[in-house]
Amino acid sequence: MRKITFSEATREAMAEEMEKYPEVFVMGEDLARQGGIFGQFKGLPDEFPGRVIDTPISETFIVGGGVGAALGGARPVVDMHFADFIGVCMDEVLNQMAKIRYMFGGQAKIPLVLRAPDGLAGGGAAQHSQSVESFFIHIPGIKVVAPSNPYDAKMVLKAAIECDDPVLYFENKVLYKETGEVPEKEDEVPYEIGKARVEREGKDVTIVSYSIGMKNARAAADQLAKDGIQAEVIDLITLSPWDKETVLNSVKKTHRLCLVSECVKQGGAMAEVAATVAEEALEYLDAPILRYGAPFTPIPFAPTLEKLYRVYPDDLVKGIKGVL
Amino acid sequence: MATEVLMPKLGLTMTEGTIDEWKKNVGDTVKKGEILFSVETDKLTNDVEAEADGVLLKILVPAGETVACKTLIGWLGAEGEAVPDGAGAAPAAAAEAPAAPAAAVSAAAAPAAAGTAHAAGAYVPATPYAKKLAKEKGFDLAAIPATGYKGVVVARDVLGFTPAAAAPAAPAVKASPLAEKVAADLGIDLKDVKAAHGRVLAEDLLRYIAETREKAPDSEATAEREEVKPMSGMRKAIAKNMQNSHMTSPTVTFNLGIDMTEMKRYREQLKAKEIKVSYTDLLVKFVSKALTEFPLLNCSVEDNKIIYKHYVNMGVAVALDNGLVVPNITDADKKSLTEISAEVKELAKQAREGKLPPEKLRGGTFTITNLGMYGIESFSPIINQPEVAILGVNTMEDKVVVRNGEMCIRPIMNLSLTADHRVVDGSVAAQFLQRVKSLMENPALILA
Repeated sequence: MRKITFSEATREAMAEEMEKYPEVFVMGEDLARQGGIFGQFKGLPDEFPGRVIDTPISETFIVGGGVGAALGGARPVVDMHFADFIGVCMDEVLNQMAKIRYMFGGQAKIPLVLRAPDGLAGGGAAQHSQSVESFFIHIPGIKVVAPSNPYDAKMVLKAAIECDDPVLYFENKVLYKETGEVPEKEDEVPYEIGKARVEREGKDVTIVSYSIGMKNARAAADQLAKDGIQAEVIDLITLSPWDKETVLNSVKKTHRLCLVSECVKQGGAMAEVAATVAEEALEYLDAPILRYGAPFTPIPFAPTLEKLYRVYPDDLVKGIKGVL
Repeated sequence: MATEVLMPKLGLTMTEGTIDEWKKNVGDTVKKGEILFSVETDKLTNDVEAEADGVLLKILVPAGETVACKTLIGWLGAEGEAVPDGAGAAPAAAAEAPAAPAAAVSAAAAPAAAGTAHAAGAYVPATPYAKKLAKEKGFDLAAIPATGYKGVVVARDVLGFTPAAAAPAAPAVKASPLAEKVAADLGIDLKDVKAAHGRVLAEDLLRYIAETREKAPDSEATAEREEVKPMSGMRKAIAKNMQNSHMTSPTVTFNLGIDMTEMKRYREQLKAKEIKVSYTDLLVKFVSKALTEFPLLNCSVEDNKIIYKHYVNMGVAVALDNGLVVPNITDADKKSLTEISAEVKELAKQAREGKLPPEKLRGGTFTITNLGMYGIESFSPIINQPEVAILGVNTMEDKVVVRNGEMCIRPIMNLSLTADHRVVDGSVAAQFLQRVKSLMENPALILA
């Protein structure tokens, strides 16, 4: 099977959707002139003239304008440049994009995709490295997705564009460069938003993650396998609405749960998973729920400190072995 | 009805206490108000009175063990009265699971606080899934040996457990729970340990360890010439506080000699009027006065904030046989010399008797420590945190000095001020010390 990068996969998704739907367009900072700071929009401006729009540096406008365009019948994809900048347009996200369909009794819909590159990219420091998904899974009215590999990146983005509700698409900056198998268009299986995937089956512990966190999950599972410990690995893919059934069924089988994400552990996306399992499947747990995430501190700039800030597969392996 | 005996909480900061000594034995009659046991905290040792009349039915936490405040440590009640659930382990365990390890738990001196997860009636930590399985299979969790993390009963323990399997093929070695735990921790097979009285107790185990250690050839030489003793609670507290202070405060020590001629005369004058005060009393009085004029020496530091104290609680270090305590004289700046003198005496007495009220050990703003009686000429005391300075007092000695161009003999006493340079700069410390000198060389100024 052909291998392409995560970044190319998202570009392909964009091109295919723009081809398919004339009402799809993209806007954000440095997209047309630069092709996106991570190259994820490269070539699109030439392929679809006038449909890749550079905006002024105003996140408020980017999302506000996207909401307006969606109300007017377009299917906009808007880009945040860095997920960290969503703070600027929080009202547009929290009160407009997420609430308009409800406030208008369903008479209007917002088929908007908000793309947000996130994560620790090495030296990005406290304002350009964050994973902010946790804020948004707390907001009813928007769907939150965070794929972990090129194939999912493509299929999830296509699903997001075709969704009639607003979707927040978190794409990890480190994952952009990673390659993975992506089938030809005719062999693609569409992604259904809200579905998790059991990526690896096991019987001893369930490891749940998403986005870049999956690298830790996979590496930990590999290490554990060497010691005969079979970890089941679940990629949530969609964080809101998340696939409770898949996780609960796995926990009922393995009786142990390990959660990992790159975002700050306190109040992080995985806290919701932990709480739900405790609420609905406590009697199936044979060990405390393990949860790994970033410490409750701004992301340090110094490489040595950034190294300390990260979660590593060894952390998971040690934790899991401690409760087996 | 039996009355619980709890580890008391003596003061806000106390979280745990060590039983220093049970003053009564099991079976002794105790009157309300009588001393029942003594507790060693990180600050001092206190006697604790019985809260009710009765007989000491049971001791759950023996001397030397440390438990959290409010932990049940024993029972008082009427003679022959049964001790409530959880403490009277022997009959319950014997009836319930004669073959389980729990059966070895006996009443007498079994230290339940150190115990196993299996003491009958005690909560058995188990995972929710293990509980679910045990319930389904009708097993008593307490009978299932735990192998999980932190000694928790996990699913595999339940799944691998059969009630019959719990009955050991060969008779198990009878041992107290403490002995079992220690043996397990140290990887000692209890079969190797000889029990002095029927079952293996912790003391048997300790003897075994001592014996086997003596046999080890390489440790023999040093073992005879060294002795290992655990620190007392007070020693631990001193060690912790001193290290903490040393790590916290960058200090500078300043020495200054005081001409005590006038102070001696002043003291004699008071003595002539039947008012006997020590030099420590005088120092408390005069230094307190100086502190009111130098707020930076009477403050504490928290994060980036300086907390100025508009009162002087003067700590006076009191040496004890086994350590040191620093009770303080509250509002020393507002007290008369005689009040101070009486209080210093009383605090020192209480300190030596181990009866200092905990509040007297808190809230000091400055400390005086006197080593003059040992002839010390200068030293650099360690600050009593969170204070920022401490005054070391040295011996008073007749010295030849020059006054008005002529040699003369004067009683000179050195003061050694250690100050925290985070807040007290050299010039401030020097001026303070100079002011103390001026006050002490001109005692009349105390009224000014």
